[in-house]
Amino acid sequence: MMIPFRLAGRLRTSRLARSTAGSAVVEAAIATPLMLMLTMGIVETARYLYANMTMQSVAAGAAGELARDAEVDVVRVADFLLGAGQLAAPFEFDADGQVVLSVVQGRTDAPAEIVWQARDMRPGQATSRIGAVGGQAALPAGLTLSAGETVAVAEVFYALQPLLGVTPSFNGIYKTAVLRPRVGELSIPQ
Amino acid sequence: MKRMLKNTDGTAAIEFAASGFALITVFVMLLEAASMYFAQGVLESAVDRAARFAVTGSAPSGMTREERLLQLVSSMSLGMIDTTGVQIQTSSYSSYQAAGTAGAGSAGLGGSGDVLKIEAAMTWPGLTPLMQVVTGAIHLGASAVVRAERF
Repeated sequence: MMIPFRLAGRLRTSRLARSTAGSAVVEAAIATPLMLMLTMGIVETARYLYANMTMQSVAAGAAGELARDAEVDVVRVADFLLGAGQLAAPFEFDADGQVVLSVVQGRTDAPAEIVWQARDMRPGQATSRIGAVGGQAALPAGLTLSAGETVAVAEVFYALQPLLGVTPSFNGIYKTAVLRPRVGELSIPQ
Repeated sequence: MKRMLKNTDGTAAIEFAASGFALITVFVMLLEAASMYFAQGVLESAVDRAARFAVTGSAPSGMTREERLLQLVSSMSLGMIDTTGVQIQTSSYSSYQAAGTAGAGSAGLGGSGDVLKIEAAMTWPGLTPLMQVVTGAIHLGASAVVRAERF
């Protein structure tokens, strides 16, 4: 172990300063917390990446469910929203996740508009980042809709909880999926 | 005797003998962890793909859906997974909510518009006997839940 220079000067003649007994223990005491933090960081990062992939597949499944029928099937969509946590296994989606589904329609000489929206009833009130019903839709860059054209948009919000509660939380995973309807254009039930 | 104590020849070899075992153990465990996650990933992709063709209601020709899924697992894992140890369960439900309730489903892939759940489970033995010693056999599982098309 290194002895600070001034201290070493004072203790030059003492046996204590020259003794290297126990230096490995002292070094281990310094290095172990660092090693543990590094390991935890690796584990948390891997988990974060895994959660990102999982939430992307939840978004794809959600948009697929909405895009399937010619007319939005509100009963099926509501059922899907309630059961969507199963797509996110092994993550605890029911406590920390939220799905927002929207139908966006193109307008003549105006930005695309959100014509329908549904969210699940899970705790947490994530706000849709594409907008609210009746408002202008913030679609992904490069996606423009011609008048009357519709797309199904799924947004998935997930607050990943750290494993031990000590590492910084990578909060706020946000994934979207945008699908064109399977059959013609999506219509909204009156 | 004194000369021998002062001699530092071969210290690298002795140090490696002492630390090499730990170092190699760490490397092997890294490989073990990576291959276990790979096996988990293969199971997940396989059930997703199986769900993809199950929702269409079409049956693969000349084999059952379970056999097709096992075939997928085998080919996607580059042969690393012994499919005789993979258990597959398919069940159908009237809704997504029901699919989250134990015992609410019926076996098989159901009919048009049903919610299907495909589950695959296996015991991952590890690549080397070291895994058995450190963690024991690990149970891996993956599932896909999807609504069947109207067919």
